[in-house]
Amino acid sequence: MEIKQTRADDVATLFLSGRFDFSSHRTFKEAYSACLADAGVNTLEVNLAHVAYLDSSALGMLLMLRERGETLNKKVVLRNPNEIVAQILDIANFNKLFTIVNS
Amino acid sequence: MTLAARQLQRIDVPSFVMHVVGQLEPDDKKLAARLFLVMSELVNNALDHGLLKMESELKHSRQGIEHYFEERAARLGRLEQGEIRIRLCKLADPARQCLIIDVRDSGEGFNHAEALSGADSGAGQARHGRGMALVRSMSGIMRYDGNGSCVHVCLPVGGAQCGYRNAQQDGDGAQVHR
Repeated sequence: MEIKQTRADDVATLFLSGRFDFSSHRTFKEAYSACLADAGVNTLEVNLAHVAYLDSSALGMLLMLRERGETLNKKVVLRNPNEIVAQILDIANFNKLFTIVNS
Repeated sequence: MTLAARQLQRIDVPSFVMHVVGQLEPDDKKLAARLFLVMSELVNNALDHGLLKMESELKHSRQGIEHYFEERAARLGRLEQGEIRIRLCKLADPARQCLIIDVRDSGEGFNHAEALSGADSGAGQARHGRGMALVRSMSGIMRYDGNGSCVHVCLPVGGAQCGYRNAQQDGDGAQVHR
């Protein structure tokens, strides 16, 4: 999985692309840890538009990010999952745990 | 196919299987994502719990799920014995097209009946069993055999309803995890 990072005001965005699973845990943690450590960031947005595949390892990582964000009072938003990824998030009840935005 | 310890250390199994199915089912674009999820969960479950004897409680440790992943990678690197057998076939009946996936590991199995009876209902924040709950939702049919070291899943292809039925199918298998 590739991760690109942008910043606009107090919103940091991680653009993920490819396959989000166990194999990407180190790069994902490094990317989000840098955002959470930035005192100027209030919202961390994870853009899933180009995530073609994901599994429960990825869901576990997103939950971990959410927990760590909460302890630092930073909001985590998921954006633009494709149809199947949205379905997986829905089955896992992530719509109750995260703000999921489609635009 | 049967994958031994050394092959499991080297091969990215879900990608490998998806490549094969992509050649066989090029017209079903959504199948790849569903198949990836199912293969990833089944193979990782067999590997993590059947061969590497990972404790799910590790996911809840203070160090978080990353600690679980690091420990998994370390144990996989040391794995010397054990195998995972994957069988993939397609039902020929055009009205009931589905892929049947069997994954069997050489581990000791687990008490799937007890796990089923003790299953909780929330897939939300609970980290336990989310993967297999997803498999069940995606596939419709999932069941364990014998001592729990073999799991069968039927994945509908092209929007078909799966025609695979089994008397042992359990109505509440979604939350099973080991």
